[in-house]
Amino acid sequence: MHKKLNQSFLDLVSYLNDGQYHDGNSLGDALGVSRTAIWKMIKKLETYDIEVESIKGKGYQLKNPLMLLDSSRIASQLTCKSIKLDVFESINSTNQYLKDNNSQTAIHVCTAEQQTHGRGRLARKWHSPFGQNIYLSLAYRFKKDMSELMALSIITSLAIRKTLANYDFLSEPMIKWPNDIYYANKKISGNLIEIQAESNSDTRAIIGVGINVNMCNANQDQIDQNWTSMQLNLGHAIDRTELCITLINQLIDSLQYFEHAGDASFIEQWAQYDYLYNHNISLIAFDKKINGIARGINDMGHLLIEDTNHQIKSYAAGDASLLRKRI
Amino acid sequence: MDIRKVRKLIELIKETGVAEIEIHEGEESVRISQYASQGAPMAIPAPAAQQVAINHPAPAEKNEKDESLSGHAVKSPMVGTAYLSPSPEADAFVNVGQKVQKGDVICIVEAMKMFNHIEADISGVIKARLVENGQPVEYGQPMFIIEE
Repeated sequence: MHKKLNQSFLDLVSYLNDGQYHDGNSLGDALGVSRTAIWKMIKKLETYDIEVESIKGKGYQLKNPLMLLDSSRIASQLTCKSIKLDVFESINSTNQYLKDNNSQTAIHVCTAEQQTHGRGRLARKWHSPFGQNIYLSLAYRFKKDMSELMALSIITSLAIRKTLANYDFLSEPMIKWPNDIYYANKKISGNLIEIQAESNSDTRAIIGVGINVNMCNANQDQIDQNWTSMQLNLGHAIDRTELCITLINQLIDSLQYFEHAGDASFIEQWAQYDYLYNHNISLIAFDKKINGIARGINDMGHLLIEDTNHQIKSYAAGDASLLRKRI
Repeated sequence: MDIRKVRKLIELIKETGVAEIEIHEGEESVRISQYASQGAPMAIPAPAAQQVAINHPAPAEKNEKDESLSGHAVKSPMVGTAYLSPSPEADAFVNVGQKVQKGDVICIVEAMKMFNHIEADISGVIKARLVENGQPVEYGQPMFIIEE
């Protein structure tokens, strides 16, 4: 179900990243593996939908450079050292892996080049092509009860947004309550949090993050909503290894702050990046639809909506969407 | 007992103004009182026959039968939405009548797009399920009854 990234596969890709043709024999010699092993790895790249040009007598050529995750570089640059890190070539779902592998290490991070069963809320599919985006889950133990973690999706979204804001976007990435990051009115990132109770009354949160990084094309039948990616807006490919490092460090920093100092500051931060704020919105909760003006969040992180009678009510659940431009 | 039947009964009691209904169905029973503490109709698990239904003399085995709904209530730790299976297509975590171990996940409560896995906090048999899939739940609302 899950395969670790192996070193000769990484080496092969780095040789091919120069855009030149390399024949199987010299690649085999350089990597210390057989020509058949090289051929198998090329086949594997093709199963991941990576375009490899293959010409008899000349060898193999990679159409576009493929920057894979470098697990040793990630491990060496994490500020928190007591982390278990798993980097996979392919996995069913990073959240599922952490649910199935309850490590005793306080923090367990799992990331992969591809998810075969990436998913969002209510098992909705999360498009997870090989080598293009970030699919990362982080398991964190809290000495708190489930009911005290209400603000966690807000904290997580703020941490992801801050990570993205390190890049030279023309405007600020915004957050659509409670867990989607939007850029230029399109979704660029989402997160899915699952919470488990532990036997010693601790709580284990599994925070799954998806960021569209270098993905530049996907069919509408692969993603059922308006999406964008970092590369589409920044105009160049992003080093995902570096992004991974920043993301993990930022998430842990925010979670530790939340755990020890509480969550008093999140409302102010939220107000600056609230995608829905003062907009006419619609919230579909269960089988009910609520229309009104978004008025930020309360200290529980619940969405505030003002109705036509100027009554403001708070909501803990539902799918929010903009109805029209700012009023 | 099917929660929809209980809902029907609540509607019925509202319409008629009857103070209390007690229904026995197989091994299960439920009593619905119109004028409980909050003054609103509510379903409560019938306790052992301290309060015998007025017009129906209790059969001899009533005590045992009524106790089938008494037991340990697993309550929602937060305001949210209850889900009975891990994903929409999947089977329910547990069914009524099933044995569970302490620590088994029996449902999910979604709040703020977070999925909280709710575990059985005692081992026993699931005696009743008091919520429907996708139903909003309040803080402290009983969702399952487990009998040790």
